[in-house]
Amino acid sequence: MNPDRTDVLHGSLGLMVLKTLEALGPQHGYLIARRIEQISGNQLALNQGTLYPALLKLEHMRWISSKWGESESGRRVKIYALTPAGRKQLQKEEAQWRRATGIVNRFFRISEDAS
Amino acid sequence: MKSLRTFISRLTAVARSRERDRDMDDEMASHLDEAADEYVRRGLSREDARRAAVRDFGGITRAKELHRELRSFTWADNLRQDLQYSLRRLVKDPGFTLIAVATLALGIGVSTAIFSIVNSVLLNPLPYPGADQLVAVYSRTADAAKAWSSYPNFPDWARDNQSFSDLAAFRPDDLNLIGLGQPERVPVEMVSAGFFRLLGLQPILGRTFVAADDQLGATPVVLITESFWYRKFGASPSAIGKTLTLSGTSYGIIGVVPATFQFFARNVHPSDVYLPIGSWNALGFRNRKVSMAMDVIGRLKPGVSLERAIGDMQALARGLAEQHPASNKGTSVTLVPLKSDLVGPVKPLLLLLVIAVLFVFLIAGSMSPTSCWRARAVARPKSRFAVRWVRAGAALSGSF
Repeated sequence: MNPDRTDVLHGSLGLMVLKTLEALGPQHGYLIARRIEQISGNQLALNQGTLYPALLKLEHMRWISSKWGESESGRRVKIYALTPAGRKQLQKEEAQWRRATGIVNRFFRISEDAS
Repeated sequence: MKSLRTFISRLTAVARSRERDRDMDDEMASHLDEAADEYVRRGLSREDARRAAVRDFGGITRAKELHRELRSFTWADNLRQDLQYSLRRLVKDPGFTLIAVATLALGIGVSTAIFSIVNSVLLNPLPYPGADQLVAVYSRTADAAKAWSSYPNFPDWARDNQSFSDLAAFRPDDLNLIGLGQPERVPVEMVSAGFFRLLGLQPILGRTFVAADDQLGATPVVLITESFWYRKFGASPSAIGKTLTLSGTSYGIIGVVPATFQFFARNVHPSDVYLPIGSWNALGFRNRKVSMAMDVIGRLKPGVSLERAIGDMQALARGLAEQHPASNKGTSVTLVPLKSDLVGPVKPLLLLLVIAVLFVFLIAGSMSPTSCWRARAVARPKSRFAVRWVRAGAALSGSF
C-alpha cells in the first residue's frame, strides 16, 4: 500500500458516496469509486471492493436505492440513487462533519499559535 | 405498504440469499470490466488492464465476504433488535406477558387438538382392509331414519340379501366380572359371528367366533382384548381356555383381539370383552317389535353399488313387513357408507374448524402479539421499534 495516500477514514466512505450521488445523480459502482478517487486527488487508498459493502449498508439504511440498468458501455450494472431520506441524512452528516472538523481545526490553530 | 415489503423481504431473505449472491457477483464483474476498459483506454494491454483493475479493487473474495456478512448480519440484527424489544416488553409487564403467552398457548393447543382430530377422522380412512365397501345398515321407521334394528330381522337380512358378502350386528353392554381379582364392571361388545371376518381382523391368539358360537344354547365363549389379556392374565398364552365369569355366566376364552383393532361406528364403546350376540337371551331381545341398541354393518360384494344394495335391502324390508305386519309394517332400511356415516355430518364442520384454527393460529401466532404491541406502542410512541411494530401490525392486518 502506498504510504503517501491516506487510508479511507473510518465512516467517511458512506458520506462520500452520498455526496457523490448528490453531485452526480444516479451512478453505478465503478463510477462512484472513480469519482471518489478523483475528488480526493488520488490521495485516498480506496480499495474499490470495499465500496460495495458500504453501498449495501447505505441501502439497508434506505438512504440510497438501487436498480439494475446499463452502463455507458452497455454492461448490466446496478445503478444507485440518493433517496429523500438519504438527502436529509447527508445534510445532517455534512453539518456534523463541519462542526467536528471545525472543532479539531481550532485545536490545530491554537497549537500553531502557541508554537 | 413499505413495512409490508420489509416484512416480506425479511421472510424471503434467506430464500433469496443465493439470488443476492449472483447479483453481487454480476455487479462486481461489471465493475472490473469497466475498470479494465478504462485502463485499456489509457493504453494498457488487455491483460495488464485486467490485472490493474483487480489490484484497484483490492481483494475480490474479501469484498464478497464482507458483502455477504453484512447481508446476513443486517437480517439477524433486525431480528435480534425485534426480539430484544419484545423481551424487554415482556419482562417489564408480566400481565401483558401472561396474556401473550396464554394466547399463544391457546392457539397452539387448539390447533394441535383440532389437527389431531382432523388427521384421524378426515385424513386417515377407516383402519380396515377395503374400508370403502363398508356400509352402515339402519332400520328406517316413521320416527327415525337411522333407528336401531331388531335382532330377529338380522338373520333374515343376512340370509336373504344379494348385496353383502358379510353382514354383522353388534350392541354394547356392561357386565359384572367376578373371580379375577377385584370385581369390576366390564364394557363388552356383543357381536355376530361375521363381525371380525367382515372387518378383516385376525386374533393374536386363538380364534374368532364361528356361527356355532353365535346361537342360543351354544357353549358360552368370549374374546378378550389385548389390554385386558395383559391386565388380567399377564399376557399368558394359557389364558385361552380359561373361564371368565360375567354377570353370572361362565365363558370360555377362545381368543385375543389385538390392541391395534379399533371399531368405529355409532353405538360402540371401547370394550374389554367380545361376546357372540346370538347367544344372548335377554327378555325382548328376540321380539321383532323390540330393538335393543343394536346396529348392523355390511361389506358390499365386489362390484355391487350402494344404490343396488339399497334397492335390494328395501325390497327385503318390504317382504319382512308383509310377513310380520305387526312389527315390521312401515319399517324400511337406511344404508350409508360407514365412513361418511361417521364423518359425514362432521366433515363440513371439521373443515370449518380447520379454517378457524388456521386463523386462530395466525391470530395467536402473529396478529395478537403484534396488535398488542401496536396498541401498547401507541402509548409509547417514542420508541423507534414501537413505530416499527405499529407499521408491522398495520401491514399484517392489511395483508390478512
